[in-house]
Amino acid sequence: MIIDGLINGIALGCIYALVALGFVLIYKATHVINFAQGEIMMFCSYICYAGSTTFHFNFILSFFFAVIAGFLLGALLERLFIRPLIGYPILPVVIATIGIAMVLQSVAALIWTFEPQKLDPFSGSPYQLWKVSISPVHLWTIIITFILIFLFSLFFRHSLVGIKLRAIAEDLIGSMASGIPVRRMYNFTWGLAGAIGAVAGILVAPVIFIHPHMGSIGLRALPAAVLGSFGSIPGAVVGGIVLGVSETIAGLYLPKEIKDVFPWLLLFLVLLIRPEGIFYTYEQKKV
Amino acid sequence: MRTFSVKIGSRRITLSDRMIQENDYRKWWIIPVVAGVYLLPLFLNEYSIYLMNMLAATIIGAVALDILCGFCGQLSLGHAAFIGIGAYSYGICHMTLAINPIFSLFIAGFTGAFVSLLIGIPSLRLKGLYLAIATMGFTFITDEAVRFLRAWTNGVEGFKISRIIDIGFVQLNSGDAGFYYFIYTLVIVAVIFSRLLLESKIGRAFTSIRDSDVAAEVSGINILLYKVLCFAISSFFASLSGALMGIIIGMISPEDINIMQSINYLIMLVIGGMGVVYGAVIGAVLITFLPEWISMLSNSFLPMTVDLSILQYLIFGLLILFFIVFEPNGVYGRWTVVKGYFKTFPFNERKVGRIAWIYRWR
Amino acid sequence: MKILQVTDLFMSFRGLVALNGIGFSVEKGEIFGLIGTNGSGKSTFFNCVNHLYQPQRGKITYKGKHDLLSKRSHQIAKMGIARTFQNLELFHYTRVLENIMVGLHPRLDMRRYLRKFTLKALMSEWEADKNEAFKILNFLGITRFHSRLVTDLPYGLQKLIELGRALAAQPDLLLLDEPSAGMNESESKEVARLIKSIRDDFGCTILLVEHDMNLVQSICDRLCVLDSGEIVTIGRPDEIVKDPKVIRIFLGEESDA
Repeated sequence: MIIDGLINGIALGCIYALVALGFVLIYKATHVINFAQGEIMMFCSYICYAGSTTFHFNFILSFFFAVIAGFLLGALLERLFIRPLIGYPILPVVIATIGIAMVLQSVAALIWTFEPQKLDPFSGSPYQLWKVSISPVHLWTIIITFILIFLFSLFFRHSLVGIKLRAIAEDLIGSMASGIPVRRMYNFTWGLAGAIGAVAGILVAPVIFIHPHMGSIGLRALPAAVLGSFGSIPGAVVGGIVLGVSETIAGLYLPKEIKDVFPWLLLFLVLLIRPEGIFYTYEQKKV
Repeated sequence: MRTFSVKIGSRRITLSDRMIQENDYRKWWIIPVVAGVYLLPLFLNEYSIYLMNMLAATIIGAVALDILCGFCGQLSLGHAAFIGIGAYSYGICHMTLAINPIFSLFIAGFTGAFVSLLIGIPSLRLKGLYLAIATMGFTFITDEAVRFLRAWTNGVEGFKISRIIDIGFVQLNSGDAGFYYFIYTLVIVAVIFSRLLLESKIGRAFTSIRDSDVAAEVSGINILLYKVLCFAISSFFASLSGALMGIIIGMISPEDINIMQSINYLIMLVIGGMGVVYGAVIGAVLITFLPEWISMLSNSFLPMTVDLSILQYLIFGLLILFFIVFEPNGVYGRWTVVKGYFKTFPFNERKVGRIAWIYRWR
Repeated sequence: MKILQVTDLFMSFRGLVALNGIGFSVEKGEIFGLIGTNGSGKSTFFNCVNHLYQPQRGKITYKGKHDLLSKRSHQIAKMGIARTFQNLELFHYTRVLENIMVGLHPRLDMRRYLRKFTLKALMSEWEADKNEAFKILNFLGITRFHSRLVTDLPYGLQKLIELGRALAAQPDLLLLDEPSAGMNESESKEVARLIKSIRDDFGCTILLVEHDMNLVQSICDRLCVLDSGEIVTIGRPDEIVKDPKVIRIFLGEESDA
């Protein structure tokens, strides 16, 4: 029972980690919390759903279709609403992301209505690994997440674009001066975050039904990002998995009311004990 | 012209009051507006008075959020939670414990302020948007807590609050014109209070934290103290507005405590103009009446199949984006620009009298 | 009397040593200059005095009894240490007068408002607060800009406003971080005159970081030369300029020419 809980928790945690990764990418580049991340996730899982039902693609094709759509959606949103706000203080930009979330949610509701939809590509009997049974959804979630995170760390460490992104996160003016196309990089970051959101949305879709309000799962990943010190990629992953596992374990023993708000209770615990998060690196503001 | 002199070192300099008239604080348009507000109930039917009373409670809530977001630059997504806390604590004090309603209003306000300390002290220690995340979580927690504490709050069925309050010499029914005068007096008090706050040492501390926290700190401002104070003042007014809302509707239920409600208040600030009290008031007026207009328009132009609440949500989202991208100072900011344009016509500069709330925030 | 006593101050950023065990003291009423090349740790030292940075080792004692590194930044400001920044840290979207009035913050007592009962008395108190700010603006000669937004003003004026905000606190110790940066020769002469009159009229001790050797020579009572976080020498300006070590480090090219 506890092993099952652990595996469920890791799978849930992987989804949290992916969503938190989306938050962290945008936060690192622009110091903005993108409250529309959950809605991008929701929208892309709808696109995947539309791909497999309306256009009759097979699942792999509609998966990639949705990921590419997620990338384009993120880039488009940046171009339309965030680019005009470069140079603004953080607060209006964050409010703009809330506006984006509202628009995406209502557009999804207008197109696909509030009827919950089912998207379950990983159906099948659970696999038996040693004495533990693991359902295909969870297995694939964990595998895909770890592959993605591995690719990401390679990307950020070794590719030129990744290094440019890190440079922008470190010092905006300096990287502008050394000829990094900052705007294009921002655009790319949003696209990347959108693509990750798409993956998270498709992976979470079999667990919960697709629904215009499923973006609130994305908000539940925020405590994971805080736990992993907002702005650190390994932090987001570890925070996500810690949150997922502890939420599932807590769900086994505590009443349902506590389980529903568990991420938020954890958030307050983190804020009380170590508000900087576990992956905090000491930074001095230059004055 | 009044003159006075100041002594600096060995020199003595004479100033005239023309020189120190930096802001024109005398806004004469206030007088007809206030008179109009007080004369309005003579021409309104019962439903309109109800709407106007709701508007008044909303204005107090919007001003409360303006104190936090506009003055101090801290984003809160938990305004609805404080409004709910206000309504529930008023209800429990007045209905369950049978405390005098005026006292209960104050207790509701102070409950909100006290809870805000519990949220604010951990989450305002760091720079960043932690308050937004924490207040958002707090909304979910409050929602669950209200359902959980069935014995006190009556759970999902909702808590009934008496619509009659006894303010000592007269009994007011929240549907009547009498309550209208009472609540609009409170609105005026709240607006004047926040104006005075902005002009005082405390308000200057808030705006300086918003604009540059390092400079505020080396100028001797205790950042954590003032941020928490700001959050507490804001929550006091939010809870007061919640209590009034509870009286007007006669009911509060956990469904009222949701993120969407908080975002509604944020939209009011964005549309009206953040950081300016009058902006919050204008925004509250617009957002309260906008749904009515939307339903009127959609009835005449759109097929019946379109869900009105989705349409309203879409329009609100687009409004946020429109205002943030094209006029981040809101309606009030735009109005000052227009006013400046006509004041100096035809000798206008390019930028005239623009109140910029676009501050640096890092 | 020593107003500021620094002993063995050490600070490094992730291994990069910015201050390597520096120690000196500043006498009350003098103008003390810190000079050095870029990256020699001058601004870092200022940030340590304000406790914006936490040095790894060392001690800064103010007026012989306060240990500044155990105080928070705002407490330090209340003890009478005001400063300006190298890159301006102004409240850009408020008016000039309000910027100055933020500087008044530690001196204003809200409680005296509570003792006034008529509107007129309240207003006169409010006017009195403003007059304090106007005194500063008058002293700096920028009264006519009082109602302008700070962003609309040129850089030199913004520097003056920041100085005004620091002065409004009536500090005992004033830290000026490159007061003449980005100014031409005549403007920096004006700044030199202003700094001297600040010392005379406000009676405060001034600690300043500066690149402009002419300015430093003309106004400073004593100078401290820093190089990569270490003190090269401390002394009177006329001695310093003759010191071969200083010439090698700081004025290298000029001595070759």
